[in-house]
Parts: sequence; C-alpha cells; structure tokens
Amino acid sequence: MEDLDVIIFLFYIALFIVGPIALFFAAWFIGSQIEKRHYQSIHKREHDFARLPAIPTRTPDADRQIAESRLVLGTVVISNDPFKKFLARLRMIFGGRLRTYESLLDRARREAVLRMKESFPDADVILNLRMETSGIARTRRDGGMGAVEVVAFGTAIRYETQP
Amino acid sequence: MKFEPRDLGAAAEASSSGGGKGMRRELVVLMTFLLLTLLLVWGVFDGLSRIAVRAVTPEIESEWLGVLMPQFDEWEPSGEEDTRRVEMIRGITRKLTSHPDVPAMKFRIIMIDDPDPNAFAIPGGVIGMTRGLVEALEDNEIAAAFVIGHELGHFAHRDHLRGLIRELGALAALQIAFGGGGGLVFTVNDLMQLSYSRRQEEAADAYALRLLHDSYGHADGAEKLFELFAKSNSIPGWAHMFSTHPNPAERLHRLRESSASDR
Repeated sequence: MEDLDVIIFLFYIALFIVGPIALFFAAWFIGSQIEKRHYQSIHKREHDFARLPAIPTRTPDADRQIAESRLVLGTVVISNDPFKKFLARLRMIFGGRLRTYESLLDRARREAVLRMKESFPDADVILNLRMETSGIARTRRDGGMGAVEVVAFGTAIRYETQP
Repeated sequence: MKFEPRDLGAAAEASSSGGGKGMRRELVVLMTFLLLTLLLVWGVFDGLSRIAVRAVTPEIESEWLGVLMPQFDEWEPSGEEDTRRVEMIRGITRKLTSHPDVPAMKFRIIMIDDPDPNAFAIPGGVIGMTRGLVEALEDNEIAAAFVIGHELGHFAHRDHLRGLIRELGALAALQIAFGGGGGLVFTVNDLMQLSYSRRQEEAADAYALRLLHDSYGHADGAEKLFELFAKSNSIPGWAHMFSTHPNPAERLHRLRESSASDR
C-alpha cells in the first residue's frame, strides 16, 4: 500500500513538475536548432539572390524596354514556440525588446521576400515591394501558441536584354 | 540606373537580435528580476501582516473575518454516546477559553458531518470538528483538549489575519508572474483552505501543550491523538517535507519530550 502511494506521488511530481520543465528545455533546444538552420538557409539564399533587388520604388527604368512584368508574391507562416512565448511573457512584466519575437518576425519577413524572388528568378528587379502580416492560429483568447503570416509582394520586371 | 549587388553583412541582422544568441542570458536576467520582484512583494505583504497583527485587535478581527462563514453540513449528534462526547468537548472549550492567554473572543464549536477526522479554526472564533474526529477521540478528554488548544493557538497567534494577508500577497505575486485574467478573486472557501506554515502549526502545538499544563496540570493522553494520526497517515514519511503539519511521529516525540521535562 505504501509503495503504491510512493509511486502515485512520484507520478504526480513527474507529471506536474518534471514534465513541464523537460518540455520547456526541449522547446528551447529544438526551437533554437530550427532557428539556427533557418538563418543558415536565409543567409545562403540571400547571397544567391543578391543580384535581384526588391525595392519599394514604383517606376521602372525609363530608358529600358520591359520584356515582362508580373505580380510576384511570397508568403510564409511561421509558428511561435513555448520557449519564445515564455521568454516574451517574462519580458512583458518588465518591458523592453521582445528579442525572441524579433528574430521570429525577422525570419518570416526575409523568408517571404526570398520566396517572392524565387518565384521569378529571371527578373531584373522587383518594384513596389509591399509586406503584410497577420497573426493567425490563436486558439482561444490567449491560450494558443500563435503563428504569424507574412506576405511580401511586388511587381517583377524583366527588361529586354540590351543589344 | 545601375544596380550593384552588395552583401549587407551585419546590417542585415540589425532587427533580428542575432537570432537565438544571448537567450540564455536573457532568461537568467529575466528570471532574476522576476524572483527579486516576487521577493519584494512577499516582503511587503509579510511586513503588512506583522503590522496588521499589532494594529488589529482580536475583536475587530473576529468582526471582519466572522462574516466569512462557510457552509457546512452540520452534524446533530443523535446517540447517547455521541451527545456525551460533544458535551465533553463543549465543556473542554469553556474550560480552556477561561485561560487568561486565550483572546477574549466568543468561541463556538460546530460539528461537521464528515467521517474524516479533522478540526479547523474558522475566522471569527468558530472551531469546526468533524464527526470522524469526535468518534476517533472516544472519551479521551486530554486528546480532545489538545485538539481544541491547537485551534485556539491559531486564534491566539492571529494566524488567520496573517494567512489572509499572505494569501493576498501570493495572489498579487501570481498576478505579476502570470499576468492577465481573473483579478483578485477570493472566496470563502479559499480562506478555509488557508494553509499555515509548519512553524505556525508547531507554535499552535506548543500553545496547546501550555494550555493543557495550565488547565489540567499534565498532558498525558494527548499522545493518543498522534498515535491515531500516525496510524491513519497514508503519506510516506519522506513526503512530510511537503506537508504543513509536522509529522505525527515528530509531534509525538516532541510531546513526550515536553512531558518528560515536567517531571
């Protein structure tokens, strides 16, 4: 009988203390690995696409013939994780930069722009660049983990090759 | 217009805080700040409880907290044996409360229809005892007197007032730590579940012993109570560090020490 009590007691400790702590550290480790890899990929692709500028200017070069123009769009949905959320909530008590969310949104913006560029790799320039963002996947009022969608769009221009 | 591709380098990372770097430091800094804030809140409310104990007389306390009477299934002893035991308990209460150290409050005993042996002090001078406890005590007057003395100790040490203020402090700390929602909601049942620190429980035990010595001249027979608890105790010994009441075996040991020092 006593042994059973010990087992139940340990079970409760595992369920309510060790479990959440382990989950927290797992989220930290996995989340930071994902972020690290994502940044590696972003850096590489940004380097590859450095020749294709995406700018908010609205007018194309007047002295060049436009061969093709097209709406290009890149969209990404990126999720929050328990570690980022925990750290952000702690930060909200005292105020200041929510650094975990800054990097999350930075990744989303850059990924969206890259996907937009990748949708038309032959373009010479992407004009009239816009970005929009919306929070999604918030189940219940405050309980959900939350995710953000970032859409980058613009007008891709391919000029006639000059003779 | 000529476009020259250029690597932005570090400038590209200006808004990202460098990804996941520095998160360990961020976590440590924030946790430290939170801990310090909670300590401060705890300190403030602890100080408040000390001031309140001095400033608020027992009469005012029982007037304020007496309105928070919870609902119980009251027990009417029916059999001749039960009636006799309840009468004995009321007699003990009258005897113990005439002691000069007991605060001048109107004390009242209520019987609760519950088979688990338990007793508690309810703000406002009410001592609740369960049917299970009355039956378990049988006709042992000293053991019953120890129970009542222990609850009177909680009244004498103003544990309700302290407990109430600390509870408010704990709620405030929770609000800071987890934010949002609820607000300070406080029900009568929360007050009933106020847990006292182990130090408060030990102080109440010591108080009960003193009352017994002064009123009966001895405390022989109070051990029965702890033997009873020790037997019905289902928590393993080592789990007692998480429990507020001292281990029955420890209490028994302390009791024996104190009665040995009398002789």
